[in-house]
Amino acid sequence: MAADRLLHRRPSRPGASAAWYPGDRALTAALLAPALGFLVLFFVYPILITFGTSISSPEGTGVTIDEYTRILSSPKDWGVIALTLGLAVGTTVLSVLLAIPLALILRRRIRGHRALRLLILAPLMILALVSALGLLILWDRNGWLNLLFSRLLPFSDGPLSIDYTIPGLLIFYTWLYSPFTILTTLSAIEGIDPNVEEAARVSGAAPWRVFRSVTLPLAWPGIRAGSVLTFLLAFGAFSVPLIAGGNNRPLPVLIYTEAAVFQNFERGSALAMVMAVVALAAIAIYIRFSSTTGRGSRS
Amino acid sequence: MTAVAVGAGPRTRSHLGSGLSRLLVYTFLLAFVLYVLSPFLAILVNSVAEGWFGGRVLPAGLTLRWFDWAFNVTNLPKVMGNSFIIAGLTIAISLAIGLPTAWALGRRRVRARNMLMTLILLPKTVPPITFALGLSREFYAFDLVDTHLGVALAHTTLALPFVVLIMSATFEGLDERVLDAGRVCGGNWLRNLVHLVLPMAMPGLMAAVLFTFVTSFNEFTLTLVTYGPETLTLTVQTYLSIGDGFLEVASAISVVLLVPSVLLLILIQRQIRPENILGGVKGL
Repeated sequence: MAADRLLHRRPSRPGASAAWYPGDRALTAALLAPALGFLVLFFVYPILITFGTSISSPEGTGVTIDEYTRILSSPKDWGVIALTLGLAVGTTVLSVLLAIPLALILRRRIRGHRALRLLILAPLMILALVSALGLLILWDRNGWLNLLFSRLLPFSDGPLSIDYTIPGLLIFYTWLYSPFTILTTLSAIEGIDPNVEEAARVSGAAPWRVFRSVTLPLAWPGIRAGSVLTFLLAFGAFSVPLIAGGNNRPLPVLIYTEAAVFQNFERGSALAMVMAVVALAAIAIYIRFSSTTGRGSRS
Repeated sequence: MTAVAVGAGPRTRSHLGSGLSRLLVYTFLLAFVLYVLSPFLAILVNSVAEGWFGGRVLPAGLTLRWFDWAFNVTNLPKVMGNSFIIAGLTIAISLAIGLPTAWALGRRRVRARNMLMTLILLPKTVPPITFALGLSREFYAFDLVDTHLGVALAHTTLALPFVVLIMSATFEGLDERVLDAGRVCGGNWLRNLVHLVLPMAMPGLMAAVLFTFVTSFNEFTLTLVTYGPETLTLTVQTYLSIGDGFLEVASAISVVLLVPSVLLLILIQRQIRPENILGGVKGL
């Protein structure tokens, strides 16, 4: 009976290796078909439509690569790509700088470390749009942080402009996307055998030297794994720069604006394809790195 | 900092040294706690604020007017209903097409397993905006725009990777001996599915359902290109309120949006290990 073949391994052998699965190709294909069909229909096909739109001429006659040549020869568009990449790289660096000291403290299981671990997750669970709204209110020219700064630094000239600026976007992105880096960094640093560090210390290494030559290299694969996620999310961020970017429009906002506001679907689609290619290149680099040195990141 | 950093073994709770380093650590932790919590606090205060401007630390007064606006002017009950209907549909569709695939990937010999897995995870790694325009055009052609089913289908592209990832790991971990025992004891496949597989897979299933719910409830990009007047969701309404400049009303809606996320966070703390949600919820 087909359903029986579905549920049970055949023949049942005690101590059979866990890697042994029944190979009934027709049944396996039937199980995989719905999800694959769905992906083709609602993921692959939309990408094909986007590509098709990007190479169709506005009059609907034939194929053209005008939009791509226009993007690649436009300093303004290169500026947008640079802004998007720069925000992603900056966010990644800030996240790593935040993650390492935090992980080094949390590994010591100080009182309240469970609550802190939960707190790390908070930005992941909450809609980016809501977080961005909170950050906008917080960093407003009349917001709490500017009130605090004006009391701490009475000689400063006027409130800081953070909202709708590039440094502001960096702060917001780091708040939103650093949890991925923090989580893997924490997991990597807690996975390090303390005896290795102890050995370095006993051999006379100063604390900074132990950190730089032992702790950091051992934790690096984990730090890198998380930071790539942070990078990808910051690269693809849409809702946050849409409401908090002001005149700074990274690629996703530009794509949306071109298509939805200016009804220029050809240009919007071409920009979307450029964005997809850059994102895929980043993933390819990630997979290459993680397959050669990614071991040891999971504890 | 580093003098504190590299210290005793990680498995024991240890004292933090003394004096300056201790002060530094606690200052850093306090700053981190404030850094994470203050935006939420700002939203909570703003949602009940009366006359909060001109450099006041706290609003001049408290009011529930913004919640009243949110409920009556923006028709929050209907918008919330849309969000829940769409999330429910997304869960149903994702499970219906994701569970068989997860079973195949977790328990059967599948050729090019890694390639398939990569393909299924792809919608989570490519920014949604890259296929949002195409999806929107496809939906116009299929007449799916501004239907609950359409928005749910769009959300499923992002929820499906979760379901397959979590459930294939769950199914792979099922104890074969229990299934064998069920068969030996004469249970037919349906009985074994209901009485053995389902209870054993329940924790994973709960996690998958929760993540699908939050993915749909918090989804913005794909909703923005497929919604219409009849399928306005909480996220799009928040965006529209911010765009209209009604930050207080947007804050009130945000407080409503926070509730499921906070509940999920509490559930996660009790049920699921944080590592499992990596690659998890993102509100792009």
